[in-house]
Amino acid sequence: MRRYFLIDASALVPFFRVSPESASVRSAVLKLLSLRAEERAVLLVPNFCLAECSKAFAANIQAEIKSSEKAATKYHALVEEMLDTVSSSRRGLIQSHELAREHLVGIEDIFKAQWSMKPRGGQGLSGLDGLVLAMGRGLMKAHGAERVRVVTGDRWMAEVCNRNPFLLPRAVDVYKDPIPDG
Amino acid sequence: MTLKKLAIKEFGKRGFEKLDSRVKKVIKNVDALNKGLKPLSRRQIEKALA
Repeated sequence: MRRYFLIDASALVPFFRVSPESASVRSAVLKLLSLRAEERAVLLVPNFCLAECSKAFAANIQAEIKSSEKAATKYHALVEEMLDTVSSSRRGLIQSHELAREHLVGIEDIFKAQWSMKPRGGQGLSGLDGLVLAMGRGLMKAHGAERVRVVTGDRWMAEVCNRNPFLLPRAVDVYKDPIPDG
Repeated sequence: MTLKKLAIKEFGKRGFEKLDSRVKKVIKNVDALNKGLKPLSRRQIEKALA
């Protein structure tokens, strides 16, 4: 069965930028890329998540490299590599998934779904998280719940998906869950 | 750990050799880009994304 994996920025950033805690995330994304290369998976990233990744790279490179010229070179190289992986005219391993008007219809249901979960301080979906899940819901409607997974490094986002199976596709928390094979 | 080492751990040496050339290219480039950069903590990544 060919699955659709919708990859959130929180899973993509640790793949491109090494972190001691991100070995599981990097292995998961590697596995996804190999499944995609074998045509066993379709990998999608919401287009606005690319902006989120760019923002994250900019913040940590600026904090780490003092010379603004060197920082700019490194930053552009990282962004280019990400775009090479995503752009269909280049390597195209991951497809950019466009936000459409239909994704916004009924997005309130997603935010309401967390009410019963009683989010504590700091927890809760951001507006962009809600849009990612709305896109996941759209894919679920088009391809069926079993064929769609949201891939995220955000615990809360994963929990909202997994506790609302009639509303949202299941999620893979890349810090702890394995990538399903078939 | 580099992505190449992780990939060998994940797929085995033979599996790594058999990987699609596009995936191998990503591995090579990402490893090169991270050279000289300090690893980030999960907290730093979350903060940068917030």
